[in-house]
Amino acid sequence: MEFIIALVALVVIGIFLGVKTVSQGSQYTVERFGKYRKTLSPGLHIIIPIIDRIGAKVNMMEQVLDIPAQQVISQDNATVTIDAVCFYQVVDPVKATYEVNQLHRAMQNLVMTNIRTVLGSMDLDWMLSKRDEINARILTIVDEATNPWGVKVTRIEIKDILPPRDLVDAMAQQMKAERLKRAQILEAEGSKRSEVLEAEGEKQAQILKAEGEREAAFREAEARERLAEAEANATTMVSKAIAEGNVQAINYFVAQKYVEALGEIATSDNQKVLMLPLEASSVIGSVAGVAEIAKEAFGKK
Amino acid sequence: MEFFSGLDYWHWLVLGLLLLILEMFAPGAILLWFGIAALIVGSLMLFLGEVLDPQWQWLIFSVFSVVSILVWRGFSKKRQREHPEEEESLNQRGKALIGQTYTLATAIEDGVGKAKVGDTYWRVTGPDLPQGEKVKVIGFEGATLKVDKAN
Repeated sequence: MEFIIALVALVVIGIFLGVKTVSQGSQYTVERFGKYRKTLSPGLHIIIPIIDRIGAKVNMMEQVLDIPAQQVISQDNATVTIDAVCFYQVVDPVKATYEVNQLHRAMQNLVMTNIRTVLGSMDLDWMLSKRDEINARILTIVDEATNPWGVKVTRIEIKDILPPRDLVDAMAQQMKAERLKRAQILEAEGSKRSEVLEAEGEKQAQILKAEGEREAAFREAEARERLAEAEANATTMVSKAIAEGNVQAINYFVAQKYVEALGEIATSDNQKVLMLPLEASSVIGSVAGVAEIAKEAFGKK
Repeated sequence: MEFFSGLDYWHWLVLGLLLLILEMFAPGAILLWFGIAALIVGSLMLFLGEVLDPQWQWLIFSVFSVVSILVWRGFSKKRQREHPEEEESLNQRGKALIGQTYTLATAIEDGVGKAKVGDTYWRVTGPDLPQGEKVKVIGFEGATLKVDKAN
């Protein structure tokens, strides 16, 4: 009976120590008498408890490594505070366990020193504007360095680049000055353009005016020409008529005009003085009824 | 001593169920096997009557604890042999990339180069090829992919 109890105890303890459940996302290394023997993948495994033991439980998931903030002096002597974040994944649990002591710390220091190296060779403007390039460069170096440890570095991202307070102020000032300069230039350009436009408008107006005057003069001359032509025509026609007919016919016309004119003068208001051309008297004489009209006109007043 | 020798069949059955319940709460498949073994012993005693003396009871319990584990392992091994494609690539970056085609970011010189995989770069080993060449992943070793010229 005692033997059986001992046997049961052995089996129970053996199962407790020998059955290993590895959960997904990690792998265990097994050492036999201290020497690495095999790796347990996720699932149920049996090891021989007396001679085997679990060496390390390696996390196979991608992990985030926070790189603490550090001061870096740039090439143009600006002291900036930089922190970063690094993503890595163990791809070879054996190497990650046995090739390197304190993987986490080793990687942290590696990333930190490389950030210093890479950023220390740049000037500040470059640092602030070329993050992608910086990330890629650091990643290349760190990935190469961690290769013997069975680690794949997937990403290194610079989180914050903080220049000192007074530098930030200076940058803001520079920015402001830049904007101001642009605004002033724009304003000056605007006023220049407006003046040019105005002058051009004036020029156009003057040209148009001159053109108008010229046109008007031309037309006027044309009108006078036409008038003269008409006069000449009329004269010609009249002289033709005279040549063909009697002088009396002209007299008739002239008399008619006189009478009309006199009538108009007579009937107009405020007419005190009646001016008669001298040669008209003969005409008046020859025209019957004009005197009467005159009388009538004077009698009215 | 009394505890070890004065066990009825229903003691075993209750012990088995109790162990199974505990297994649900405790992590790691350890109590499960004892639970199964205890249920087997209880069932045997129930069907065979009071023929098993305590020593045999405990012996059977021990044996079945070990046997149940071995049977389970046999099953899972066989299953893996029959369905090798179920070999998972979860948490194994390199394995997940096998069979994929990528572009060389740097030329392979002296058997070592770089290929762009997603948004990151992997070290690759293979025949010397110029930059920009398409390569196919045929295997992996740690963080290094073994590649060959894609055709």
